[in-house]
Amino acid sequence: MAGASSYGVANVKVRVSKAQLLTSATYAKLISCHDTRSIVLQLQESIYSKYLVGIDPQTVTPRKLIWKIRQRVPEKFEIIRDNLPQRSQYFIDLIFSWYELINLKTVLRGINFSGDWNTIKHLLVPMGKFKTLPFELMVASGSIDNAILMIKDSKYYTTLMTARHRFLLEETLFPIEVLLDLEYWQKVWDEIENLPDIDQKAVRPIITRIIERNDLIWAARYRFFYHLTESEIINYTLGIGTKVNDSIIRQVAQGKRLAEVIGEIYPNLTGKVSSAQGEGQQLSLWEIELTREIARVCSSTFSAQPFSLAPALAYILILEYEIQDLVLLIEAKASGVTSENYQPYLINQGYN
Amino acid sequence: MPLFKPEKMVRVEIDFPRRYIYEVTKIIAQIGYFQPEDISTIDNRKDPSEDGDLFETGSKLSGLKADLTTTMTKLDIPISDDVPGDLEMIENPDKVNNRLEIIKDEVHRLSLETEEIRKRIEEKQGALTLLQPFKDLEYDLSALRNRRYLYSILGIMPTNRIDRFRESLSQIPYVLLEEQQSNKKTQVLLLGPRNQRDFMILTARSAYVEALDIPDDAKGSLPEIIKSNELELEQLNENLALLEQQKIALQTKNASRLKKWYSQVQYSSKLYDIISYYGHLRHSFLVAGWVPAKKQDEFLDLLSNISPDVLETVKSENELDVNTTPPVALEFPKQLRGFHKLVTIYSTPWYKEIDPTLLVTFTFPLLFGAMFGDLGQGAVLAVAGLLLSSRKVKKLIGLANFGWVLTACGVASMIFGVLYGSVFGFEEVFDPIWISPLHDIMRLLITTLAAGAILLTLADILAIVNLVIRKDWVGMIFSGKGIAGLLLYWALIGFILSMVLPAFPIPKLVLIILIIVCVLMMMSAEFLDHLFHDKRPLFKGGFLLYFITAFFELFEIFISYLSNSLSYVRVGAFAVAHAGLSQVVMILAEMVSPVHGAGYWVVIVLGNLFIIGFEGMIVSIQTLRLEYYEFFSKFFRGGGIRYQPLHISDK
Repeated sequence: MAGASSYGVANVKVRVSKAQLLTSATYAKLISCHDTRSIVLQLQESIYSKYLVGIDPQTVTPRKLIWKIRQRVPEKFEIIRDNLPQRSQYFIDLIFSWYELINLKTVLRGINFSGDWNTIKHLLVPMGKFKTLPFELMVASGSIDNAILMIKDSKYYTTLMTARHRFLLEETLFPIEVLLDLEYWQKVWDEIENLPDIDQKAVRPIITRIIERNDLIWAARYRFFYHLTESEIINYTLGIGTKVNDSIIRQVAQGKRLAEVIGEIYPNLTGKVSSAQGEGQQLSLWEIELTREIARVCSSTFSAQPFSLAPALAYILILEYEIQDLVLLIEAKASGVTSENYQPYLINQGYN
Repeated sequence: MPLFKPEKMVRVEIDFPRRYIYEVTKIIAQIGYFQPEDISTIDNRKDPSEDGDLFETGSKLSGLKADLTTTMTKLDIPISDDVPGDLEMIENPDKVNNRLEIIKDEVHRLSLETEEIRKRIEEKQGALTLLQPFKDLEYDLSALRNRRYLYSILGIMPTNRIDRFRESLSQIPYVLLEEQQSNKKTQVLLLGPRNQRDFMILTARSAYVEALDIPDDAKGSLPEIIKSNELELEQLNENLALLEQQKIALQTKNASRLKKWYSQVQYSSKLYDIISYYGHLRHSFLVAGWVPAKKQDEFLDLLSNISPDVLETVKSENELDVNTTPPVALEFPKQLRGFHKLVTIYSTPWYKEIDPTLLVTFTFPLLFGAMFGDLGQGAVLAVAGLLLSSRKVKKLIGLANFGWVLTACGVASMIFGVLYGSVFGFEEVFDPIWISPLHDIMRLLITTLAAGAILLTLADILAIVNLVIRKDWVGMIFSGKGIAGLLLYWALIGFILSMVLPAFPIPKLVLIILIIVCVLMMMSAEFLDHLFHDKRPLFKGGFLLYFITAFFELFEIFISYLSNSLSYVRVGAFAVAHAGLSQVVMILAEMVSPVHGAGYWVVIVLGNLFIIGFEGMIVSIQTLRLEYYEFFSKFFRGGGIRYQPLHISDK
């Protein structure tokens, strides 16, 4: 009763928004497109048409097109967020601040590679009406150290200052990026406790799946690409998932095959990725497979927990996955990658 | 004020020589009703670098803004993003920049010195913080550094990473001493076997332990080192205070000048942002955007006052190509804003269609009232709505627009309460003017079914009107959303009625022929559309595929007619449920106090509150469902773009 009255309007908004997700038919049409131009024409027939006003299909660059369609995220987020009860808005804001974190990392990378603002700004995720960090000024400041000082009052400052000494010693952004990610997801996990019971129960399975996916993929990636030791990997993961605990992380860190580990903890995913491929490629495919699993958990909440925070969270994640698919499609079409090479990396294949 | 159709918009294209760029841009920025389009992809210049100075000025302004921000931040001068409209545009940022350089250099020097001292203070404080817990130990540092079997790391680390650090060390024997400094930082002393030195260093580093860097020449016991650090810290703090005084003097001298420059730069940057939307023709610039048709003359007058060389092309909606859709400007009196919000939750209306807000204003309360008919409960809702719309309840001020929706629903509920003879659930206070839901269920259900058919017909008519607005003549006559669809719907209703009512005036044969004709019209709609609009192939995917697709589409239309019509039965069903629920409250009240004492009235009041809150919400959701899925889906396309004109003082 309390959930229904608090989440009534938000539920309607989420249901309407969910009905606007791209359908399987639109996905099929997008996949059959030959180039960026035809993708634009196809998107102009969809709900994304409003973001493509003034775009010339002949001349638009993939980067600009991606930036345009990404504007849907803050727009939809604002609609849903404003209709949530106040007690849940902080949590959903925290989820949306993931985009700010992505932008922060992009800006730091840009500064590190001496990129100029005009190049970097198109790589940022649009934040719509939401106040964000002074990225332009950070880039103008010219150095990572100055950029950190410019955001002294932000929630990232302590984390950045903690990782700064390692950045100065090692001259790589790796320690900064890792700590930003760890602190963010730890914060999300901790904040679940501050939600009302009904929301905690509804939201925790989704966040758990995300953290478990992150831990598995991070552990495998740090071992395979960075050759880190077991103890380092433990420090660079969270280990708070239900199924992906420290023992699992240690197994991955010691070199146990990801397919084997995932098969043991998620039996329904056994054999989803062929072991004939290289380990690096398998890792990417497992990441997609685990993300699909998150999308499945999200989908189930629409009917299982309709009057809670979960549908809003689930919708925001599913929309993000749709955008990720569109980005993949646009980039694949622009660079002439054949459909059999990119299709395995699509998270969804449309709704309805 | 257009209530059914969005305000008429015209697309204006302005072609002007480079020398008028600032005048044109200022007008566009200041009028407050121009919505520009990004046409920067149009570039027909012979040499794309010929307007380089403009972009150079734009990027110089960005640099100037960054410098001003840095300087003002360093001097603790508050920065305001408000842009007054009466500012002059900076065409040559170098002039301001040269003057700023002098202040900047001074601030920079001061800031470097301050930063340096602060850094040293921070280091000293860090070292002292780490050493404080050991201040009572007469312990020689060299003893800690040079142990034969023991290796130690003294440092500070994030408090929330300690558990992971312990977990990562579990492979070796170790001792970890913690002293929490704050909820964010903890100082740690890690002791382990010297032969695990590399492991300990690597693991501590990955746990973000910032090891204490005590100079090698630091000699003596810990208390001695602490004492000397404290003395140095005192001296550094004195130096810092002197620098702070210099900063305040500099701030007092320059604050108003810097604030003025910042506003000017902010204003000019916005104008250069607008310029970045412009297209480039061979010898001129091109701006495109939307203005309300009623403002067209005023806008063109302003532009022509600049120079006869500023050329404007105005295209009304009839002259636009198919893919160009004007933005939608809709304005409603405050009483209708809540209803409009209900429409935009579904989608923003498209420019070339009827805005259903006014229809929703009637149908939403009508459906709600029919399901929730009660004079007393309706009055409560109406009063609650009025209270909400009065904006007197501060916590609910965001829902003020919905207050009028609630009031309208409450009034409709009161009217139906009179028709049903119900007040606060009492059915014996007065006789129903029309029907008692619990006593004449079938009649009520059949009436709501008929009312649903009328609403669906209204939706079909609106769909036809929308096709007329779009000038889709083939669709208007032949498609399922056109006349053929509407005729088929009524022919089917007629056929069912002729089966049930022997005295039905239209013969079955006529109705069957009408159904067949409509079906054929609808199946041929796409083919005719291709034929009249010269689209090829006539049968997309071949005739067989076309036929199969048309057949299944037809099947879907039949199903939707049936499901949409039956959906309206729920209106009657909810009216019955409402009356039933009220009866339950009455029975409970009787059980609590058969003599109608205080208990009886407490149950009546609580029961009514429960019905208003709980059932009111369910009925609202059902009404919304009927509006969205049964009504809107028939004629409303949505997907319009909101008219959001440019305004220079926008933050």
